[in-house]
Amino acid sequence: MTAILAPFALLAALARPAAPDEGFVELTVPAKPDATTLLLTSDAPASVVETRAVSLVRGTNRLRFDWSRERVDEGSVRFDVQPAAGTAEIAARTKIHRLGGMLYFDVEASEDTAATLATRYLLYGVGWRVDYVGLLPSEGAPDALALRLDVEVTNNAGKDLEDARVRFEGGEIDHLSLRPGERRQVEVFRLEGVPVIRRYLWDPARFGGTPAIQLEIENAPGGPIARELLPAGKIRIFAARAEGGPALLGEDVFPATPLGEKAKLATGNARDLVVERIVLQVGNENERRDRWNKVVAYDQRAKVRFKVRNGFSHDTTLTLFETPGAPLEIVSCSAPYERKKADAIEIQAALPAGQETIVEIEWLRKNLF
Amino acid sequence: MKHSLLAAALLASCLAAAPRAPAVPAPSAPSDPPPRLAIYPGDLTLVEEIETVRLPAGRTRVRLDFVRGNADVASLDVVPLDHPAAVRVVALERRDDLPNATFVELEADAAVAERLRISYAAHGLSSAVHYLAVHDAGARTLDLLQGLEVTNGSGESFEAADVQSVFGDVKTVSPAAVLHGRAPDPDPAAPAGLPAPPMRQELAEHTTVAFGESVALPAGVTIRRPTLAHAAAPATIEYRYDAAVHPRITRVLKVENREGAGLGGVTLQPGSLYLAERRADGSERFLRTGAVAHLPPGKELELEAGVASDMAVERELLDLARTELVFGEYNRALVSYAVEEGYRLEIRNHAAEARPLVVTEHVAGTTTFEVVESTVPATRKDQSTLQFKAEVPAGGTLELRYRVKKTNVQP
Repeated sequence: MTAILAPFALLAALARPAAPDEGFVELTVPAKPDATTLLLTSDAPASVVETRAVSLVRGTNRLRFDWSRERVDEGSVRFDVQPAAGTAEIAARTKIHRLGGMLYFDVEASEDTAATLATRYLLYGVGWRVDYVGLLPSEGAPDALALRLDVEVTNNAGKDLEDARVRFEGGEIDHLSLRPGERRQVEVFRLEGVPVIRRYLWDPARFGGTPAIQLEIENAPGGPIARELLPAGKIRIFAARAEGGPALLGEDVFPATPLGEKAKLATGNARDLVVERIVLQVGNENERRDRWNKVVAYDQRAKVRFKVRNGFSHDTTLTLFETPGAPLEIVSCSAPYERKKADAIEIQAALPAGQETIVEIEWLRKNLF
Repeated sequence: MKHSLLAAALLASCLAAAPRAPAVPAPSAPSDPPPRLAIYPGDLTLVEEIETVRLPAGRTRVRLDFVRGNADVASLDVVPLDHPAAVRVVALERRDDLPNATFVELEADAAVAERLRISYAAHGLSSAVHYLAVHDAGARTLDLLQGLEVTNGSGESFEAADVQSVFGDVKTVSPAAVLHGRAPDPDPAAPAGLPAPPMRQELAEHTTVAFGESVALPAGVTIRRPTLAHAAAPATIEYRYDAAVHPRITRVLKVENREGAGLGGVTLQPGSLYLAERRADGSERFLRTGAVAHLPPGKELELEAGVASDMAVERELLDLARTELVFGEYNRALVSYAVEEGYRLEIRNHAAEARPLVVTEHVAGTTTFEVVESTVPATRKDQSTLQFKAEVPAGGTLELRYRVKKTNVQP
C-alpha cells in the first residue's frame, strides 16, 4: 500500500477495536505528514521532523512506522505525542527483524483524544552546498560588493520531499519539493554594499612568488550581512566592466563565518606587483665549540633586501611575510613591521604608483645548535 | 514445562530401582511465574524458571530436553523450593548420545507436588541501553531518557518473561578450566570426561536495569522500553579550549548526579547516545551520536556538545628565546639550556552572555618549567599541563598571554 507508493510511510488505517487477546489498537495515521522540516548541518545527516494529526483511543495504541527505500537511521527514530486531552506516553518500541524497515511504537493514552504526532529521525542522502557570488561594482572601486548566497539541496535519500521547510546553517527555505534524484538551487539572500577590504600579500609559503589578492569580508553585527553564521562554500568574485559583462576575478572557499568574524578570501594574484628577494648576508657569529672544535652553538645574523615594483597606476601597500624561524630578534627594518608569531614578521611596504621600493631587514637568531 | 526458553521438555520416568509413579508436571500450575531472564554482557543470559511437578515417594528420574534456544546444558541447576528437607536433587546425569538432555535424579520422602527452580545459561539474547538527551539552551536544562532494548535472537519465543539487564564486569569461567583429572579438552564438541560443574559467576559491583512488567518476547524481535526519565535536570555548559584536542572551542554539558541534585545520584549504564539541542523557537537540532560511559552515583555527567560556533580563538607563539646554555666541563658539548616561550590567545565571544572558559595548554619538551608571567592565573594540572580558567565577556574579547620558562631542556 502506501509503503510502496510512498516508501516512507506511517501505515495508514483507521483505528479498529482492540482485540481482547491483543490488548492494543493498531492505529493508522496519514501517510503524508502535515508538515515536514529538515535541518541540514555540515557534519551530520539531515534531521527530519514530521508532524501528523492522529486520533488516539484510550489504552494502548500501536503505531507503525514503515520505511523501505529511505535511508533512515533506525536508531534515531522516535515519536513525540502531544495529546489534546489527557496524557499519552510512549511505552515501548518494537522491531520485528524479519519485517525489515519497520518499527512499532506503543502509545498509552489515558483517554480518547486527538493528538499531534511528531516523528523525528536522521535521514541520510540529503546533501546541500552553498555558493556565494560577489560582484564588485568595478575594479577601481573595491570598497563594497554585492553578495549573493545560493543553496543547492540534493535529494538522494529515496524520499519524496513535498513542501518541506528546510533549515540550514545560515538560512532556510520555506517550501521545498524535491523528488528522489533531484536537486534544486535557490537564492537565500542578496545583499548590496557589503564592505570589503582588499589587501596584497607576498607570502611564498602560501601563495607562491607572486603577490596574492586578499579580500576581507566581515560578518559584523549591525552590518549588512549580520547573520548568525555564514556557512562554508565556494565564492566567485566578479567585477563589473565598462565594456560588458562582469569579469571573473577569482574563486576561493568562503570559510564558515559566525557573526562577528571575518572571512579572508584569496582570489588570485597581482602580477603588476613584482617582488624580488635578495639575501644580502647570512653569517654565524658567537660560535661555541666543543673539545673537538665542533660548533655546538652559534648565533646567526641575516640581512635581506626586497625590491618591490608597483606597476599599478595607484599607490598601494604590500604585506611581506618573512619566516626566518625562532628564536628571532629583529635588528633593523626599513619599513613598519609587526611580529605576530615567534618565527615570522609581517612588513608593511608602502608602494608609490609606478615606482620601485626597497625594503631591508636584518635579524639575529641567537643560540642555534 | 509449560514454557522454557529452550523448549525444555520435562519428561519423567521411574528409576528401575524405584518403580514408582512417574513424576509429571502438575496439570494446573497457574501460579508459576513467567521465566526470569537476566541478560549479562557478552552473550550470556541466565534463565530461571519455576516449574511445579508431582513427585512420587522415593527416587525419580526427570529428563530435561533442551530442544531450541542455544542453552548451555552444563550450566543447569535444579533446586526444590517448597520442601527442601524432603525433596533432594541426588544427581544430574548427562549422556554422550543425548547431548541436549539432562536427567535429574530426585528423591522425595513422600509423594508431593514440588516447585522446582530450573536455571541455566543461554545465548542469543542481548540487551543494550540507549540514551536520548535533549539540551535546552535557554532553560539550561537537560532532558535525559534512558531506554533499555532487549533483542531475542535465541530462536525461542517467550509468551511472557520478566527481563532484567545486568551491567558490570562479570567474570565467567569455562567449565573446561576446572576439570580435574585430565587436561582441558580443546575441542568443545568432544565429550566431556567428567560432569562439568554449573557455571559459576563472580558478580562484582554490577548493576541491573529492570525491563518493567512481563513482556512477550518472540524470537527475532527487539523491544525497547523507557527505563529512566529525567526532565529538566539543571545543566551547565563549560567551554573548553585545548589546541591538542580540537582547533576550536568546544562545549561540554555538565549535569550533577548526586542525591537531591541533577540526576539524583543514579547509576547510568554504558550505552549509545543521541544528543540534540532544543532552541528558543522549540525546534531541535541534532548534535551528535556517541556513547555514555558508566556513570556512578556522585559523578557528574559530562556530554560533549560540539563546537561553540559563536566563539573563536587565535593562538600564537609570540616569542621564543633560548638562554642559560650549559656546556660540559670536559668536552664542552651543549648539555642543556633554557627556553622562554610567550604565547598569546585571543578569544572572541560573539554571544550576548559572558562565558566561562577552561583553556588547557601542554608544555612540551620538558617537565621542569615555570610560568613566569600570565594575564590569567595558571594552574598546573599535571607535570606538563597548564590550565587557565577565565570568563570571556559578552560580545568581547579575552586576551590570554602567558610566558613559560622551560629549564634543563636537553638538546
